[in-house]
Amino acid sequence: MGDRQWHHYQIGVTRLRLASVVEEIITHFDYLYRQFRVTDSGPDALWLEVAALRPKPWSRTQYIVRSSGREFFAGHETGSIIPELEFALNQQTILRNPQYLIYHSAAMEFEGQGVLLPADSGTGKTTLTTYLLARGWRYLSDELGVVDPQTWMLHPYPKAPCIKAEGLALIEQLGLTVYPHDGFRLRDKRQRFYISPTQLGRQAIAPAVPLRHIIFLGRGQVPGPYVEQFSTAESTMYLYRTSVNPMAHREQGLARAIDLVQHCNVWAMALGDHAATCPFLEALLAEHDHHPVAPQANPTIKVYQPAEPLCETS
Amino acid sequence: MAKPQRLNHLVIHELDQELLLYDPNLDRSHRLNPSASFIWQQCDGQHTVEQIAQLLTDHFEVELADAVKDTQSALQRLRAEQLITDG
Repeated sequence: MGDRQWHHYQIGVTRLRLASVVEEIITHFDYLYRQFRVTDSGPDALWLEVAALRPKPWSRTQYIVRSSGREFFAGHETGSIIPELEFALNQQTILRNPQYLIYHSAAMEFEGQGVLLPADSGTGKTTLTTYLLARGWRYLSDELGVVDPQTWMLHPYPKAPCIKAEGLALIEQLGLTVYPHDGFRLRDKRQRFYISPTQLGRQAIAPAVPLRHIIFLGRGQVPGPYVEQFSTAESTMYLYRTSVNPMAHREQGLARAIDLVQHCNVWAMALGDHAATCPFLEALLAEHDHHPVAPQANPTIKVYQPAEPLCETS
Repeated sequence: MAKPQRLNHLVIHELDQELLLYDPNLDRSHRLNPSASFIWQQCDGQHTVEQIAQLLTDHFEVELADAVKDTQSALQRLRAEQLITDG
């Protein structure tokens, strides 16, 4: 890998080395991840490299993120590089860890227990995560829930929580600062801000913890917070849909999702105002702190159900 | 007369009255609710659509007219998802 200067990190399950022709990228990355610096990430670490290209002498400089053999065009502005690095890091973490079940989910620790918080993009999982952190919860990830299917341990992948402009005021209410002040922009031109895990304090990052609860986050018909329980099959499908590496497990992925749902307490939670949602969630978990709740007794054993939706496909 | 037949290469998980089906050829998963599961299970290549609807009325205590309509609708969906053939 030539004479590039490599910087080494271990971000939870991911060991990586980073080199950049743009020095400020190292400064940015260090701001976000300096607590995860290691002296040597090892020979099989993921590598990320920021390179600059000028296809023609009169062309503007283009930035490329290379990650273990793949290339991502990162635009002409240095401000677009960090979000591309984050994207590449997520993608490579998924690809390089097929032994785990990985879900598009926030992951937190509350009183020694792992909590998976799967949600669609834009639901507000990063904002909720940040509020929970401010209440003493510990952080595993705001993006990927990494579960060992052999041990049911939830592993840390403590990326810098990423928020978009609409979440900014709420975060600032908590007294947290975002980085950088004017945001980074990806190709979709939306501003993105990061919260350094360093700012959360070393104790805020949890080690691997036993997974006990799965809370699907969503918006309800009426203002939340409130929870509903689904049948085991319904919960499994919800969870399976959030899997980001289903092809790594093929038919086992569904079987493992069933096992996981049966191993955990599972709810769907309609989010409300965060000041109400956080204590509501804590009370719920405290009430069911160890033993999986039986799935909702199906009252429809002999009761006809409407034909639609009869069949749900993922 | 059509006698729908469920496909036999699917991986089946039965959970309470519901089924989760995994199609390894298409790498797709499906959840069938209790009534859809019941209909799918009757697709054994022996029963006609009308017979399945009759079984549905016996099992779920539903009017025959509704059962026929819903059986047809369910079979159409199951066919579209490649979970049955027309036998």
